[in-house]
Amino acid sequence: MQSFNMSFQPSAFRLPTPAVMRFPSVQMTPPSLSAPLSLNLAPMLRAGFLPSGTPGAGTALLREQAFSPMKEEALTTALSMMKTPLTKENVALAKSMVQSGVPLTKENMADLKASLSSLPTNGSGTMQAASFLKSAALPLTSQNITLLSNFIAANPYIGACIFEFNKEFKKLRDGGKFQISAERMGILSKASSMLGEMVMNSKSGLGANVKAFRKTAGNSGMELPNFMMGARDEEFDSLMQALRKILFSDKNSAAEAMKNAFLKLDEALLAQRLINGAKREGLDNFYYFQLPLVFGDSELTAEFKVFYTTDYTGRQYVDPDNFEFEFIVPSIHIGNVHFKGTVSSGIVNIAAGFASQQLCAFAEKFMPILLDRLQEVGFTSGNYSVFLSSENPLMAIDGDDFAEMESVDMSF
Amino acid sequence: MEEKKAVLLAKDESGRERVVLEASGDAAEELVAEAKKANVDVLKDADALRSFPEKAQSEEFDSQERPDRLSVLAYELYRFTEELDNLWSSGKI
Repeated sequence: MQSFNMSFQPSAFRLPTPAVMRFPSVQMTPPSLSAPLSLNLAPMLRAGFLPSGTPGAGTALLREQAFSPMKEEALTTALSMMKTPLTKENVALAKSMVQSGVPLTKENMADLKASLSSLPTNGSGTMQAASFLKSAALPLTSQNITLLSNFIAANPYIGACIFEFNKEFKKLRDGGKFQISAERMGILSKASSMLGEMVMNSKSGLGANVKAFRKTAGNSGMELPNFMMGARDEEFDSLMQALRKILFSDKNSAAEAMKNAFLKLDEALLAQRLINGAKREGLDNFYYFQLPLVFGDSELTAEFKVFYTTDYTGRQYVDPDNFEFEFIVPSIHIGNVHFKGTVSSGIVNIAAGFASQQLCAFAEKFMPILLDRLQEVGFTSGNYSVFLSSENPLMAIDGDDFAEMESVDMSF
Repeated sequence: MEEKKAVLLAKDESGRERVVLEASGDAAEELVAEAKKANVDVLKDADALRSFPEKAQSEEFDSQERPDRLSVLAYELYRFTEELDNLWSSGKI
């Protein structure tokens, strides 16, 4: 590129930059008159209704202490009012509905029960998956529920599937035991290298890692055109289609391990596409995907989550200068490192979570180096902190923690 | 139909590329046409360019590999974790 002057007025053409604004989630969806209502409220927000018999009843008023911690009794009361039997399954389903923000109505419950009845088991995972689909207005099919509940139960594992697939493919190809035509071998070979391109590797350069990150994000259903992510990769989709055909139409017993790895990978990608394809209202929406990476001599899976807003055209949007993210990077000796960060007007603030106080103290000394590096690559250096974190994976499906919810009596 | 966007880069005294102009809609078309006449490159995705780290802007990448803020952030955090892990296991600190 060469130096260039042009008689334009830049200010006349500035692009709008929507700011990221996030608020505590509030879900006010009355299930029915006189039933307790589930709410997830920040302490700062105390809006409620006076109970019946109180002067001014029937009028929404602001007052202190209108809410009480959510308990299972609130669910059983709601179910009783809906004339629904208080079975263990019904209470569990009601709980998962409340956590997913599905209005607790008789109709919604009947819908979910009908969908769940076609499945062999109805554990909490399937209820959570079904409630998520319902809240996201996605089809409540047995296939979708099973896909999501399997994904949640085994989460995270996409990296292991890719590595297993490629390892088995090379073993079969080089061992000469794979009875397959040259054309089909060519497809498998191409698919293997394409899956390899999704893996981040610190030994490769920045460009290859950028490409890996984008490919994995796009193949997991993340659509952010302004980051060059999510353009439909038709070559990837057609190769996956060809692989399904080759692996599951041929009776080639030598390929069993490869078939299993592919099946898990295919399902994990489909589950993530389902999750990321959900168009939900609210301010806490995010994209989630698993990221395979090489760590030393090991092959691991990281998890990435970025919160988005919706732009004026209704499209998901992440402003490069204002966004919030979480990233769990696995490691060999220090366990998972849980990064939580915000970028605000280009200023990056990072908190890093570790599994012990000792690790926190160790890592804290190096955090300024991390911020310096981020400054070098174009961010403005902000604050850093470390915190004690659990080893829990990121939540691919967001559900409110029941213990932290509050309830309010809506009766008039 | 999606609105077209364009940005123009120019090198400063230190040789680093800077965004000198962003345009959208008809102005973007005009910018691209004028730039073509002058034989300079104009990147059409303004948002993507705005998200490029400055360091990355000075390096050569093909269009698929040109960095954005999300991927660079992920890459740096991954590298940082790997280095912390190595330091911890070496017992040098």
